[in-house]
Amino acid sequence: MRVLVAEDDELMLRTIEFRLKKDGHEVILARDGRDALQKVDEYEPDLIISDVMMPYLSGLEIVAAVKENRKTPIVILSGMGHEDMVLEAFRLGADDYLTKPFSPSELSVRIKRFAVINQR
Amino acid sequence: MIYLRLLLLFFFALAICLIIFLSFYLFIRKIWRKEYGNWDRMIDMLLREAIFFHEADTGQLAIIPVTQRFQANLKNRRFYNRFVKKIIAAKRNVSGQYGDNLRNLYIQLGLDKKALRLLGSHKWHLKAYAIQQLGTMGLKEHLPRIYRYTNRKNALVRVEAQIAVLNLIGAEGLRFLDITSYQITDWQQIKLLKELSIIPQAELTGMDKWLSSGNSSVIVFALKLARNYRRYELYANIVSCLDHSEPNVRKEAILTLTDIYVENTSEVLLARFDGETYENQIAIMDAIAVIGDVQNVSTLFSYLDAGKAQMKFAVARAIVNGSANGLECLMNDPKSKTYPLTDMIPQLKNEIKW
Repeated sequence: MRVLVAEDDELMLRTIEFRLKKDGHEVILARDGRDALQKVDEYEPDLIISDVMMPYLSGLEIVAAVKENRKTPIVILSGMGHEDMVLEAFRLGADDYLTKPFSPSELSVRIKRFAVINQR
Repeated sequence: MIYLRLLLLFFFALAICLIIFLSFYLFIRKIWRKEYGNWDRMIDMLLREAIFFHEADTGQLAIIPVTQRFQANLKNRRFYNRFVKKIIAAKRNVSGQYGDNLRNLYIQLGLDKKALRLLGSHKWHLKAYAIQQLGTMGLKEHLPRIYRYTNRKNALVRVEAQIAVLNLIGAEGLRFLDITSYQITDWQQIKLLKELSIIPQAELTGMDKWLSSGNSSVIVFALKLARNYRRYELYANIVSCLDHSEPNVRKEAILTLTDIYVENTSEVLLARFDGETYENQIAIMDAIAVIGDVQNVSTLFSYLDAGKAQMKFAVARAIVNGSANGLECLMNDPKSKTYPLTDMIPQLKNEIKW
C-alpha cells in the first residue's frame, strides 16, 4: 500500500516510516501541510497519516481538502485528545484518530485494516 | 579638507571591520549549524534504534548500544540539552514498549541522576526542567519528591510538578487540588486539561470536594472537569456554585450548566438573572438559548428593553430558542418592529435554518 505520512517532527516522521516500511508499505514523506497536499496530487496515495499541528496547513485542513474530491482514507495522529477535536476530525471526514502518545504497533494494526479494505 | 578625508577614512575602516566581523560570525554560525545537524542525525538515529529495540529473552533489561562518541558528546552541555529535548519529545509521542525503551535509554545514560541533581538546584528553571524530565519519563519512584513541588511558590515549578504527577499516576494525581493554596491560572488549567485529555479513561474522584474548595480557582477548574467529563451526578453541587461570592466562579457554573442540565435548569438560571453581573447575565441568556425549556417566555421579554445591543441580541436568541414557538412570540411582539431587533431577527432566523 502507498502511504503518505505528514508530520513536522523529523524523528516521528522517520519512526513511522521505519515501521511502515518494515510492514512492506511504500512510504511518502511530507514535512508540512502544503507539501502533503502537493504529494497527494502527485503520488495519489492509498492512505494518508497526518499530524494535526503542522506548518502552513493543519491536519484537519488536509482532511477537508482531500475529502472534497477523493475517498482516500485518512488517519489523524494528534497530541490533542480533546473530544471536540476528535469530533471535528471525524466530522470533516477523517477515518481514524490516534492520540499521541501512540504505539507504532497499534498504528501498524490499524493500517492493516485499511489495507484489507483497499484490496477488496 | 583634511577632516573630511579623516572622516572618510574612519568610515572606511569601520566598514572593513564590520565586514570582517560579520564574515567571521557567519562562518562560525555555519560551522555550528553543521555541527548541530550532525548531532541531530546522531540523536535521531539512536532514538529510533531505542524505540524499536526489543528486550532480550533472558528477562533482564538489555543494554541499548550507544557509541563512545555519543557518550563523549553527552558531556557537552549543548549536546546534552539537545538530546534531552529530543528524548522528552519522543517519549511524549510513543507509548507502550516503545516508550519504555526510551525510558530505559534515559536511565542507561544516567540522565535520571543528572535530573535529580538539577532538582536539588536553587535555580527554579533547573528545578522545573528536572521535574519535566522525570515526569515525562514516567519515573514513578521519584513521585514523593515531585509531589512536594505541586504547592510551591514558584508558578512554573508548581505547574511542571502538577503535570508531572498526572504523567506519573494519571488522574489520581489531581489530588494535589485538595491541598493547593495557590491560584490555578487559566493557562495552568488549559495545560492540565490537555494532559488529562490523553490519559485513557481518566477516573476522577473527589470532584465534589473540589467544587466546595476554599480556593476559587480549584472550583473553576473542577467545574471545567465536570463539564468535560459529563459528570451529571454533580448537578446539585454545580447549582450550589451559582451562589458563590466570586463572579468568575458563578460564570463557570453557568457555562457548566449549559452542558449539564435538567428540566428546570433554565428557570434556575433565570431566577438569578437580576442579581448577576452584566457578563454573567449574557452567559445566562446564552445558556438558556442552548438549554431551552423556558416555562414562561414572557419573563424574557422584559429584558428586551436592555440598553446594550449585545444584551438585546442575547435575550432575543434566548426567546427564539427558549421554547417551541419562541420565534413566533418574538415576531408578534411590537418591539420586534423596532431597531435593532429589525436587524437581529433575520440573523436569528438564519441561525435556526442552520
